[in-house]
Amino acid sequence: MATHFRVSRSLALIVAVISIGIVTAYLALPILTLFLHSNPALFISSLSEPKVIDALVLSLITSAIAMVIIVIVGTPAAYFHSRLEYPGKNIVDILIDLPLVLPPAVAGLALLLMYGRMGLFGQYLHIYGIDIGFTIIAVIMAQIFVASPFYLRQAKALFRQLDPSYEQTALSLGGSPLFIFATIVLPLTFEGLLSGLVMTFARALGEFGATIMVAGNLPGVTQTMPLAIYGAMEGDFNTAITISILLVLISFGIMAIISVLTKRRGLLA
Amino acid sequence: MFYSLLTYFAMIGMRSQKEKLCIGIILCIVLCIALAFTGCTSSTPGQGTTSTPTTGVPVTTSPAVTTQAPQKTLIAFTAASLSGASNKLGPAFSNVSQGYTVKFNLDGTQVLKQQIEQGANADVFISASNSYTNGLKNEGYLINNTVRNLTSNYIIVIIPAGNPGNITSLADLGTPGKRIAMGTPEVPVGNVTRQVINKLANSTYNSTWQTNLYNNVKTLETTEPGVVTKVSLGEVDAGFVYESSYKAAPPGTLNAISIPVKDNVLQIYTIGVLNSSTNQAAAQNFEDFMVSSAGQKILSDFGFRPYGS
Repeated sequence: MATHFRVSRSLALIVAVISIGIVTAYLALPILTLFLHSNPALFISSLSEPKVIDALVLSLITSAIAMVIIVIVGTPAAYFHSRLEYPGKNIVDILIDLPLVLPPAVAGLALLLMYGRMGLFGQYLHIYGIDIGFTIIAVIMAQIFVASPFYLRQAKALFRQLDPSYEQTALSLGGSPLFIFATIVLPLTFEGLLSGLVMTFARALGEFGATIMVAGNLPGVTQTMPLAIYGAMEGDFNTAITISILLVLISFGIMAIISVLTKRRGLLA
Repeated sequence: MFYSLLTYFAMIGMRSQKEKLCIGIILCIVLCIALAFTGCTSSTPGQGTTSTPTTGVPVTTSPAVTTQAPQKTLIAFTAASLSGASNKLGPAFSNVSQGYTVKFNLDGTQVLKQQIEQGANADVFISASNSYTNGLKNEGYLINNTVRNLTSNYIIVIIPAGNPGNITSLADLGTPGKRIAMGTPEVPVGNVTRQVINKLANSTYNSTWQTNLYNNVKTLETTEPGVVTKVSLGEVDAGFVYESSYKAAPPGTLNAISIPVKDNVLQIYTIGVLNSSTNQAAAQNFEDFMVSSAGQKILSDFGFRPYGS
């Protein structure tokens, strides 16, 4: 028995090392190659290009705004969605998840046909002189569309797992709903919500397909970092690599923050 | 990543510090070996056979793995402005060739050039820009004596049906508040567009008109058909495209304002066979077909001008 156990144990060890090694190498090596193609001097010099700075600032601002809007609208929506039973709830569930599997290009086309100047809704806005297509607003709307599931799914699950008896007790003791939400629901779900939020931000930052369809590609106005990479690939390869490295660093940082937040462990643990 | 590894071993009951260390070391070695491997291959830039295209190349049928008879399919990296014509050119070539078919990889010429430099697999390069063709010639990617002029095109301003921006002249393009689409500076159509605007500003209009026009630009597209789409959808008031796109558009969908020949630039398209082509004879046949009267007839039907004009 003991020998058997030892054999299967060492077999498991071999399979574990090989399979995890493959996964790690497959994911890490292409990313490392990006760094091999650049060097600090090159990185710094293209970092100071206006195109890169414009794209970085635009990406950070739009992603932050998208994140704030998702929190403000998404938090109560997710809360009530998980607490209430209503007809069509399953369909809403599917809709919330849909952007995760929908190609962003489809999302972009749909947004354009809805909010573009000749769009179903956009044509009425246009009468009042409001044009959404090819503006920074379109960038943010595209980001909200594709990134919202990351927050909504997380929030939905957290609120559903939360025992409603806490809220009911507090309500019976005379607490106002807003007070109860702020003092009971929020503290109990805060960590999870925050990690969902950070994921949303990261997804918004990486948004490409929907943005280029509905917001176009204009440096300094609608050209976010992923669009700038695409643009730079056609001319200035170094700039493309620099922006890519920036995005890798930011994304890695974001994931590290989540890891620390949710697992309360060091990165190398 | 180490976290998940250790969870796994905690699960199956291996918790000794020694074992953890052992696994860590093995993993590091695997990583180092793999890294050294990529280091070697990435140190051979240019047309190394191991390098793969970094952008999403639609062509996934490399001859080695294709399920169709490999020597029977030609891959033509083709300027996107030929998209419409390619639908007719492909079948027409198949009819006259001995069973060969052509797959067109349509994108901005600047993207095609980049893909070829990154080792993409292609037989023929059809370029909308002499500078990119010359670039590839100088870098040794093209068989230089196969490079020939194919066709030509002028720049035109197109306007969506219904004229939402109320644009009736080139002067209107410089009125603040109009919405304009054009190509990026890298895509050939965008490059010529800038030359044309410059000439117009010098000959007829002025620098204020030019500045206002550029301020009206709402999107820079990476392909010429991209500009056409934005105009056709009515999302912009006007766009700078090739004359062929206007001529080949369904009647009634687009209006146009032409640019005087003296201010216009005739864009010459070229065609050439790639050095890396495994099928150079057939590629040469395709090129011959393209410059033959049959090929030129199709191009002319799609609004292109003869290359000699």
